[in-house]
Amino acid sequence: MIQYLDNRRIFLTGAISGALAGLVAFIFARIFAEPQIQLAIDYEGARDEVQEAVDKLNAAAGIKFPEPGPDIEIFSRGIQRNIGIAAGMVLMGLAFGLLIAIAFRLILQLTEGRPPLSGRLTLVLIGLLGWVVVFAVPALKYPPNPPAIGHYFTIHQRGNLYLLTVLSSVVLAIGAAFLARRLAKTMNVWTAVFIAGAGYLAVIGIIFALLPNLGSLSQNVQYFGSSVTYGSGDAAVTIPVTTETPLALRDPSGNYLFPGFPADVLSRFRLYSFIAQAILWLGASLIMGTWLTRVPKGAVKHQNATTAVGV
Amino acid sequence: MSSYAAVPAKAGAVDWAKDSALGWIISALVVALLIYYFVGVDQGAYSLFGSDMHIHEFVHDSRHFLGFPCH
Repeated sequence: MIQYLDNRRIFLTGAISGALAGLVAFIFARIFAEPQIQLAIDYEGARDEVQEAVDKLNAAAGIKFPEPGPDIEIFSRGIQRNIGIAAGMVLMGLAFGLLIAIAFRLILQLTEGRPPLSGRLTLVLIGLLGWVVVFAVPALKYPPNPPAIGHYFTIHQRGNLYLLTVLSSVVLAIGAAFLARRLAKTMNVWTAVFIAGAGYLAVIGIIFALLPNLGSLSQNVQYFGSSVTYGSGDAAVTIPVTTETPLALRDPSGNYLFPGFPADVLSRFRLYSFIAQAILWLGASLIMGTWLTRVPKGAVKHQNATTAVGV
Repeated sequence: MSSYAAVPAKAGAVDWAKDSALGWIISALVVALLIYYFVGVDQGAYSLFGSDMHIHEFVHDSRHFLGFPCH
């Protein structure tokens, strides 16, 4: 079966498939993520009240503490958790769909229209790699956080660090792809891809080891220290502070006033976040594969073309 | 193994080696990066329109959920 594709069809299908996957990801987010996001926001609100009292005590005791962040409310929660998150997910899906289309078009170019795998399988692999390279690997170093987690005074550093992990992952993955192509000239494809993939993991691992943990950013250490000790005497446990997840709130004399961020809310939010990104990337590539491999009406069958097994 | 060909000559397209997709690829990349930036980053770590927070606040939940540092 030979199929006729043009650029317009490839890129428009990519965009529409991505937007559709975004719609599915929004429905998933609305059902699973939003309750967790609301819990996080409510936690933040309750904590802020106690924090205000603690700040006054700290000021009286001459202890340094960060100014509270600005309180912004432009859109209601109702807008944010419905149309707002829908817009974000659909647009991001569209963007990922376009990236998948670019990768697919480049592969068609490099293979002169004859990818070694079927069109659908090629697209699914692109989607899987997109999920791993653009989201999952960077998220291992700097995982997604719900509201209430993240200090406003480190947003610039956190933003740069996150984008740096995404950029390194993407650049290294492209490098690994070229390496695999070169190696495949002297060995079988499986081994070539295996070696290139291992190289990608090794280098990204070194980069992650060198990048700071968010808790180690200088302002965070200044305000929150580098470790926290619970309990006393022989049973005391000291835990390093490596993130910005709010810990239990204590007054200057060490009395506990408010619990740390609920662990289950955080773990569920992160799990759902990984799933939502998989819906975007894999959903976009699956829908795109389904549509692109349909022969459009009126397409002329090329009789002389090499017969190939269908997808 | 599948094989793909550009649209037949009647429709005005040519074979893969000659059919330049550069314009499409660059346009798609620009659109994708703009979306990535505005949904994920603008009015957070960077801001193109000063201290206005409308985009940030509108896509607030998705920014968190897509894994970007938000505020």
